[in-house]
Amino acid sequence: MRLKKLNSEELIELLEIFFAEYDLIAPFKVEQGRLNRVLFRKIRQNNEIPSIYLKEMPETTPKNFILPRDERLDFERFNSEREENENSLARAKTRLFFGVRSCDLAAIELFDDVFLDEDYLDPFYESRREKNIFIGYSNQILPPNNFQKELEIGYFDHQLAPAFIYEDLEARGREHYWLKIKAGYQFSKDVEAHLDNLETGEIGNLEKLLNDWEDKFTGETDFEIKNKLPFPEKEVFNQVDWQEPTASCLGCGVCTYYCPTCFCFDFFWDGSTKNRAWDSCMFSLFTEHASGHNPREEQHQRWRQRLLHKFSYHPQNYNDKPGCVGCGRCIYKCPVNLDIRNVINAVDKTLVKGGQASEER
Amino acid sequence: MAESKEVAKKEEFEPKIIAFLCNWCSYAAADLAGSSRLQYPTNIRAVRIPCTGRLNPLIVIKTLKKGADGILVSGCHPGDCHYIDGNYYARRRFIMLKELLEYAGVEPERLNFTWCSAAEGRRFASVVRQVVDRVKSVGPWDGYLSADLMEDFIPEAGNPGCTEPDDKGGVIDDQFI
Amino acid sequence: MTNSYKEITEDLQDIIEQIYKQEEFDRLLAYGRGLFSGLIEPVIVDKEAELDLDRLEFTDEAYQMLSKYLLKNRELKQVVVAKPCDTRAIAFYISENIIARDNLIVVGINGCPGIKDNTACDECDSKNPVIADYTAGNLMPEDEFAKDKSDLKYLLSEENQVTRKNHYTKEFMRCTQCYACRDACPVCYCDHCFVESNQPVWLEAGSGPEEDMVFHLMRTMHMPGRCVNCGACEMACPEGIEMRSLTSHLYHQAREYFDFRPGLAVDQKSLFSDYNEEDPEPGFLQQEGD
Repeated sequence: MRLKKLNSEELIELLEIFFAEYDLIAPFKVEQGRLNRVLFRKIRQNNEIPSIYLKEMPETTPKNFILPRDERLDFERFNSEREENENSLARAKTRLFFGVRSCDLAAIELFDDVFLDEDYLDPFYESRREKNIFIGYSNQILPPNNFQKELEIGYFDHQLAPAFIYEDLEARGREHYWLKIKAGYQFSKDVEAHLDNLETGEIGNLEKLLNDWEDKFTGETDFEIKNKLPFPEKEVFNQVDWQEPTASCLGCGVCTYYCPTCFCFDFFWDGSTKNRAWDSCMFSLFTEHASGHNPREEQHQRWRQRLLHKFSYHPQNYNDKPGCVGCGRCIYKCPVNLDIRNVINAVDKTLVKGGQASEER
Repeated sequence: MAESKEVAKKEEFEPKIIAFLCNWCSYAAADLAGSSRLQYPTNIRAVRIPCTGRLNPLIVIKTLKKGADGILVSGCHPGDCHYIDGNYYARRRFIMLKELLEYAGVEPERLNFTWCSAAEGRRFASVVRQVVDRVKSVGPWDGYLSADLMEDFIPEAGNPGCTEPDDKGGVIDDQFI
Repeated sequence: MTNSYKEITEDLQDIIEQIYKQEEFDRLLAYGRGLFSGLIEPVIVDKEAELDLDRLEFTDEAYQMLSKYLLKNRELKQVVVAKPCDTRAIAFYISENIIARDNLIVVGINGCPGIKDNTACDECDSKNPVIADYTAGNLMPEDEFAKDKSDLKYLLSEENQVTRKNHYTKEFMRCTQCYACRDACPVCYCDHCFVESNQPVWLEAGSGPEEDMVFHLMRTMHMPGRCVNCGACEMACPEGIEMRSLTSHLYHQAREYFDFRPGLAVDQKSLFSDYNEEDPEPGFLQQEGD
């Protein structure tokens, strides 16, 4: 592991080197309508690099690039070219995602579990997933409504990222940015040469800094998940009053579209080509049968599905890992500010009550 | 798309115009024009509808989406509706539809509303000539989206609207001293 | 001069306490602060359920339209905290026979001080409730809020056709087809929306930019004669699409041509279910060569 201290000019220089070598994708702040948003975007020109905006958590995630909203599934081309050249569908250049938060990295890991499963390998996902490098980012600002700590996802590191940038927003001078390059990744070897002229930092100093930040990140709310994951499916399904906490849901599906871990999709045909596009369990059409019957007719039933998928079915299938990374996007993007933590809380309370009742018996 | 627009010179351009004609008046007027051997351009494709009041505005929106260069809707004169007042209702809807589409960037020449009674074969022929001239004057219709902006459209970029970084937004610079 | 949010909040808490004592009802719809997020969210509780009155609040962030939630449980007797635009939507429901007046207890907000970032409040023409059983805050004289439309930069009436087309292309390209604008709109109440219709298919599958545009044009075409100019569509949009200028334009045009504004009275006929023989015919092809 190597630690480098950078100031902003050095960071820009380093990114310029990356830009020459990789397809660089980074967050930018843009004004759209009444919103000021931070979005990931591919960098087209060198002079855009200084405008990269890292301070706030981006609204979009690498999900938009790895599992795009609309995707053409061209099996014929895929199969024929696959035979000629193992990597023909892959891009010429490696994509470098700069400034990815640890929760979003955890989300990509979760996608890998689902789509790169040996038994059900998704070749289209695989082709987009290969040749990606992620550089993580963290600073001392807690993203709005973030609860990743409660889901045991750390803020300051993730195994998918060979490098991590830490920005000390209070410091000035050389200690402004810390670049941690981890050993054991191909990327670390590739960039070795570019790092020599940078000042080396003390790992201990960084760890002290991160501990300080860690303390800042606690105690924001009194939210906690008292029960172990996965939530027991049957009890939660039947005993929880789903209507009350989800009564304000409009069914727009914004929570799932901005969720870094939601991966449900729908197929459709465009002439003779098969396509897939994002779908959402919050939509009434999601489970509608051809007969017209819909097993989830009411919005609270759809909410039950979303919550159980994330906190019961997903952990059951994938080593107790929740299908949620606690990034908080679904909360602040929701048009009616419906808070998933309220719903988890309702489930938690019911389970605690149920547990006490059975003990008493 | 921009290229094809240049190639199709406005004189040679033969627009495709969808005409929604009321069964009781304007469709009969078109019939009369035909049986009276009145000449009018062949650019219109007539769609017979029971009454202009039946014409869902969404059909007009969709027709333009599907590639028609212009629209003509013609029904009975106000007061003469076979269903007593269907065209009065239709009139209000067309006014709002025309306002909407013009506001969203459709040239007013493409949207044509008029009234033709069953006895007005001559008028029908003249209306068609007028409509064809109007649509020819604005050239081919290339969809609801502005062609120049569509060149920047990259579906893979996740959020396609996000093409330009905000100049003020960059913070690496201004935060550091 | 308008009422302060604090005064309205205090009034609301008193009124709701009073309603709990005096009135028979099934469900309460109000605004409150989220337990963990601290954001203003709709509070929807049954009468029997526990409710901390201090949690109820009205601030400049209370942009959600509670009138929309009335539609979910039309058969229940509901108490609703309603901004003036909400009351117009409610008046519209009653005029369309969607909800019975007897099933509603409307707590109107007098002299609404407006919602943050909502452009609709800049051209608001109803600062007092249209219908209300109880009111919070002081009544405001309506004419105080008359505004000059030319101040409103987002209305593009002055621009030419190409500029407008560019503008809407740029805006609607961002659409992710979540249809939050439709879902948040208080006057969108069809049981079966054209969006979900597959016979005929109004919107083709996938999310091409042209489909997005068609969706917005179709949605807007459903709005004249219903839109109460509350701005919920734009507030709900997660992509910040400026779509309200379209509906707002039609709102003003309907007022100009037909002197019609929706939701001003409970016995009003809607724009498209009524006509006047003397209606104007702007831009219609005129007699020629007869």
